[in-house]
Amino acid sequence: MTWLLIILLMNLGGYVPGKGLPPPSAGSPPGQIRIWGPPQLADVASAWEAGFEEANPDVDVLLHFTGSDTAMAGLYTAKADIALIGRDATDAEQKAFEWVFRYRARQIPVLNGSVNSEGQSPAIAVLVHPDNPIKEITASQLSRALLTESAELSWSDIGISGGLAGQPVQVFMPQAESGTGRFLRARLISGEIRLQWERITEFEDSAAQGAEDNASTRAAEAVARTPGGLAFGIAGVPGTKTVPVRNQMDTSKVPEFSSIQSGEYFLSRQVNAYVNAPDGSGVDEGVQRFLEFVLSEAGQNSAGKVSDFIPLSENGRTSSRALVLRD
Amino acid sequence: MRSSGVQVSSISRRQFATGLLCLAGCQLVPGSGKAAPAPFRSESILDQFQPYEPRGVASGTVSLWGHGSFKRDFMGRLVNRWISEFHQRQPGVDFEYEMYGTASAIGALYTGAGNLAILGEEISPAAKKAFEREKGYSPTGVMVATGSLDVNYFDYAHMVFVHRDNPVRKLSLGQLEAVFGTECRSGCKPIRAWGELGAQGKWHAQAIQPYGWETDEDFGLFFRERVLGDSHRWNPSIREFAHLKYPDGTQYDHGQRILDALAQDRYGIAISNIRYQNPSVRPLDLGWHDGGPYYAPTPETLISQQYPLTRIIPAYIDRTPGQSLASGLTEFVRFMLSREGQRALIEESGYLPIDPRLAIRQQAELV
Repeated sequence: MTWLLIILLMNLGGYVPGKGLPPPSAGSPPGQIRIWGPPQLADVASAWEAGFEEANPDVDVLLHFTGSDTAMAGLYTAKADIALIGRDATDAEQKAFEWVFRYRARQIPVLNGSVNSEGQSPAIAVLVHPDNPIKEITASQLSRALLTESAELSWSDIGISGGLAGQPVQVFMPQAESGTGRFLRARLISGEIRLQWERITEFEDSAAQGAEDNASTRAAEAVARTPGGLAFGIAGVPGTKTVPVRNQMDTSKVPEFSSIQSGEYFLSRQVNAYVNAPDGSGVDEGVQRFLEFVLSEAGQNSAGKVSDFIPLSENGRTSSRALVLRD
Repeated sequence: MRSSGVQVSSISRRQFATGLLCLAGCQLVPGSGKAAPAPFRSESILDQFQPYEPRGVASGTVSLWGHGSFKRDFMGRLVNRWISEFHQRQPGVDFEYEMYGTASAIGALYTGAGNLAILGEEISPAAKKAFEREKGYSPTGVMVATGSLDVNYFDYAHMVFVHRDNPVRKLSLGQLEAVFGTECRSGCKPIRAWGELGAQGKWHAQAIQPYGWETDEDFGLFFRERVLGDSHRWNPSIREFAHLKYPDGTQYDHGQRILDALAQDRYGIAISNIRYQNPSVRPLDLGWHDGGPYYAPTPETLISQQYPLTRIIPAYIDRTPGQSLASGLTEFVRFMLSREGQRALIEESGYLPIDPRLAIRQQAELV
């Protein structure tokens, strides 16, 4: 058996079962930065590539934009240096990364989502039929609409008075396990999936490329036809009324450029760069230079010119720079 | 609709299971649903596998990703025996061992970091979808092991329990879907009272209280795919249990917590495993279809896939349509499916072998 063991160790690069498996070598190849992401972010990435390479002609930025999920796979298999995605990484994606490298992928916000552009991480608007007299709604009331056990939940049950008070609340939302649905559940009900399905209608994205597409629009269109409805959808769809949402700072906001950029609208989203950086360390030098460009005024403006993503606020850029440089 | 039809490529969780249903006609156990609890006799089943016979001299590198972690090397002993025995027969094949966990394995396949993904459970729909988006075709799956009856970390079968006083003795997948779900994708109607499952007398009007794993974790996802037709609309009244970890490093397993809770609830129904059984609860026989046949979980009914909540262990490869695989990769997969490979599996892991007829069929499709 001894010779068998020798052959085995030769073929497995010294790996001994039970002794721990070293992570693969990560880090961008010399002169290259490999960025993976979904097609919906390809224009933004191309703008950043052009701007960065102009100032750094010695660096080749390589783009691979097939999907958010494949981008995270690129990162945890050390084939990508940056995964650029319009959502938070899922638990499964972070688990995959963590089990390879033994720390979590670092999340660095690089842009805000749009106000209401499909495929560009639009804010989730709370929408009702135009005849609904509601003036504003709180996060607590929204959670009750999703979770309260009564199948016949009425508008008065969630604290709404007026003509609709006795009418049932019918909820329209993107599929609960889509990126939008996960975000919504995380923000409102701590990720809970046991919803009161009897009064909830879900809409699925029809896009084939793995990014959010038209489910938010279809949810909005449904409420335009339903006087007693409440939709988590996209703002600006004809026949809908956008309801201000009261946030933790006790101010009511609708999704718009300023409330999203300031972070006051709490159902807005962000675009994140995920990178491989051990806790307590800065990111790889080449990646750091690229992200510093992305977070610069020039980088933020170039993204704004080719998309509806909203630039980070000055405070947001400062926070993200700190994540890049953290040591 | 639960259909049948064996196929090696593009195998999903349900396809793996239902694909094997056509083999159920060649029963390894009587169809009574009351298989004798005799010890599992591995030699008799190993004789039915074909010995490994090399198809020429193989070469290349097999880069393995899959089931493992930095905390526990679940498959290390097994995979290393596979490699060492295979290497005696095919010394020209090199190996890279990157078993970081099931979660990264399919990603490694479509990014090109690896060329053989050995999973610790069925492929997730999200991983399959990502592969298809990246490559434009489906990953090719090969079933290499059957999940265990009751061995921790080796994908034990899911079992459904009721209180010992409960008159219900057996259920179909459709009935389980109606109890644990709300959407009823197979066409059933939600069931919420014991009378709807045939219980009479004082049981008739009593509400059913479901218990189970966390619905968004691996165990819950398997049950959801196999029973709920991948619907995420669970019965909102389900009580979920996670592992409870104590400061001294020990843990109160989720399956134990579930059955301990069921012991206190005469009107409950619970998903768990027989390893956690207590005197107050009883497992049900299960059937794929209303009207049966119904099967108790035994090694034989798991291997034959007659028991509906059997787990399967697949390996996946990236096989471009119309192109042949590298010889080293093909030969190694053929070896895993051989008599020698399955003997190693029995001796070095907690898994059960696959059905020998499926092994032979899969080997033939790997040409």
